[in-house]
Amino acid sequence: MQEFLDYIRKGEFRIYVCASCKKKIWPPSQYCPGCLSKADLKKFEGKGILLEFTFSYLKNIEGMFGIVDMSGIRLVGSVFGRPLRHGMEVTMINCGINSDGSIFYHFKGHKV
Amino acid sequence: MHNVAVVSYGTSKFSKESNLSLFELACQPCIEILKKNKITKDKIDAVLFSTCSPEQYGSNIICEMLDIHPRISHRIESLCNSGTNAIVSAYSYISSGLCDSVLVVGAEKASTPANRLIWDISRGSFTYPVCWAALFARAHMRKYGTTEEQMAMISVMNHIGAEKNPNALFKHKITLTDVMHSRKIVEPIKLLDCSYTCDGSSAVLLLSEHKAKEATDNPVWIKGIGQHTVGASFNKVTHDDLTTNRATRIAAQMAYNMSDFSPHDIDIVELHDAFTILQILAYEDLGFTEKGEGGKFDHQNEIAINPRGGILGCGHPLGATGLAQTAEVAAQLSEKAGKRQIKGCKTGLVHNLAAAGTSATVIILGV
Repeated sequence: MQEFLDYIRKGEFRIYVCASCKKKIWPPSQYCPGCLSKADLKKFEGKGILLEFTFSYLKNIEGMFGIVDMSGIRLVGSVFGRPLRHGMEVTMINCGINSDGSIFYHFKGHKV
Repeated sequence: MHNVAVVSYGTSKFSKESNLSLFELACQPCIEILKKNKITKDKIDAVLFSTCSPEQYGSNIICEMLDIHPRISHRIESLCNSGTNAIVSAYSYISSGLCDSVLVVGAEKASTPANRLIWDISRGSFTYPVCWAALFARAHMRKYGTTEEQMAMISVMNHIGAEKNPNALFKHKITLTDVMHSRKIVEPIKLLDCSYTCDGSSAVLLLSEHKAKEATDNPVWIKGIGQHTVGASFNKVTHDDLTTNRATRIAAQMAYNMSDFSPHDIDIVELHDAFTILQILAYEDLGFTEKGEGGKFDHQNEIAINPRGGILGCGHPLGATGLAQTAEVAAQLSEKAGKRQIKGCKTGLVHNLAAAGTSATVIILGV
């Protein structure tokens, strides 16, 4: 987990992949939940599909956000670009750690 | 397997902030049970404490504060369904023959850190539960045409129940306009679509069949139990579909199979309405209506829903909620629910879930 966070701090999203069965492990863990082998942190292409989205009025996280499927892993992040639509392709444009310790993921919708 | 009965129960007044410590809060419903029941303290074999508080050794502290010396004493934590998890454990102790009597108590302070599951970084910055609830609501609206007004009516109905409940946090009626005009939190969810994390406690006393028959003429029996764990993260729970909760569906089917009851047999239900959209999903996942029809479900003549006011009306002291739900169903089935008594109910269901529905518990009770 620490290694994953070190990359996130640098704005790089990586994911653990099982060294044996190649399963993508998310949220991060060095152990594969499938075959229980060790996993390695690998570069990951930040493209995905916007499954659902809405607008938050909450302090510090105001704005559009949604759940994105990236090759089988799912995560929630801010989504930029208009117009957004369900099922559109998005790309992770940034990630990092907020001052409260939470992680942020920023996505941008592809123009159609 | 031995039969298990709910013989007694108690619930404190839920409040935004009481002047009681977590353990004083926990003692309140236990004292209520011990004072009104024939079971003496020396006959309690186990005390289980349901809470999300990080305070250590809570169950033993409660035992010392009440001068109870059980064989077994420990805490159970599973976020919002800690309470029903504790009942499942108590059931297991008794049905296996290890214990004859288990006192299960849940308590929480409003300041609990358990509102956010920090481990789950799949939620990114959107760690508040209202964020996942809003995504569920959006998906249900888009797929099935569910409306904001249908969600708002659930809050209105549950507040009507809470008005008759002296322990509820919100003992006043609200209107559809009140909900629709309440502050926007995360679209489409408004303030009055949300439950309120509060101070509160609740306890139930479970006994084996032969002890139950000595203690009361009207035991309420646990007829079925179902529980399922999908995982812990939002990543995991969304892999089916955002408009359904797999843990609830599986837990419900297990409980129906064990009890030989079907959804049509249920007279009264306390279901997990931490947000209004969750009540709509629960209607469908518990089998009370068809998939997609939850927003339109008109249950008035078929089944009593959340007569104590649900989580929306009562407040949500996380570790106590599952116990307060069970206490309400037991009170209704034994015709001791006072002003909010539903006439003629014989079979009831408790539905309690945690962390975006990554786990769920269903308990069916009957007389």
